Amino acid sequence: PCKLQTGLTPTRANIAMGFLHLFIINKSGGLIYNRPLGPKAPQIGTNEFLRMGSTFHSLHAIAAEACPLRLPGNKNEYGADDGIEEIQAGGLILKCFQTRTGVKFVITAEPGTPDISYVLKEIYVLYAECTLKDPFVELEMPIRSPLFTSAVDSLVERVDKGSGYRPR
Amino acid sequence: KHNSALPIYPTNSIQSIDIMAVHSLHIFDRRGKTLFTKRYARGVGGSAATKQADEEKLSEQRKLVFGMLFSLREMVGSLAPEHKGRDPGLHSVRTGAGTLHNYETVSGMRVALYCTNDPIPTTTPTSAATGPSIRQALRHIYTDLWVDSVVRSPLYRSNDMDISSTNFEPKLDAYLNAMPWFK
Repeated sequence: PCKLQTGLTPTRANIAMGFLHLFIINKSGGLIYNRPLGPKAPQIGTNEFLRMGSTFHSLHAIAAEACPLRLPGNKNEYGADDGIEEIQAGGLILKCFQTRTGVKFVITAEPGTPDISYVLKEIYVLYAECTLKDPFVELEMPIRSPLFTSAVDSLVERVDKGSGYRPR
Repeated sequence: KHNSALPIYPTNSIQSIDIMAVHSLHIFDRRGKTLFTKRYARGVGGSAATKQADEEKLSEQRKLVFGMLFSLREMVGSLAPEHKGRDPGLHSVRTGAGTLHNYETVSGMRVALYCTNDPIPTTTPTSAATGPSIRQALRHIYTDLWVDSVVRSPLYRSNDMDISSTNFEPKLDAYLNAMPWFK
């Protein structure tokens, strides 16, 4: 169901779709980064985010275990452990990308948002560029990097506006 | 991307295993008790002794599935933006190996279906030829098959019910076999 304002034809501007949140979870399950990506992101307290990060970390692994089907060696095509890749719910799509080192990039968005996987991969690239190459950022610790934050913001803004830059 | 998932259901030796699109179906009540479960994938048969161990393992696995559905629903509920009229429930969970589709009723009953990750319609049907989407099918299984066969059965007991005394299972099999994505 789309959220339509009366009197307007559905254009990209007023159909409910947009990014909500970005989480980055380290390999021990601790939340190292979280950022609301759009105006519709629900306000959640920091403690709640931390709790959600660990919960998701465990559920990611449990999902692979509970599934009666298994990938060979439980590794997916990227060499990382298999786990939740996507969750679809009534008002939400959640996509997760886990790297070989166990870092999970989780992004939530409203249903109908295009290019969620593309944005997720791009954020991984930004993470490598801005965070890993920064000598002041410690691995597995909360990320405090204004460069990374502004890069993420401008990426989301660029994709949301539909600038047409969408490599396939 | 080619799905190379193999069912590692309790097997003792690798023999020829057929992979169907739909692997298994579970129905849970609001407390997590399994009301009905059925496996559709063909697998390797075992001896009577291993079957006993398999049963326990399967029961543990089902508890995992229920717990996961329960916790994910909580999480998704707090992450989703406020929007009145929106369905707050969990629709599907996809891992690299397979997808779990979930339909929840207001009374807390959950119909959960495990499938492979082949591209099949999940929420809306793409054309008449592809049949109803999985979500619509799960809904039909509850509202038409379960309610008609089980809840309306004169032998219905709300706590402990023998499903095999109703004709739910044959109806379910017939319905699923008619689905083009059932394989």
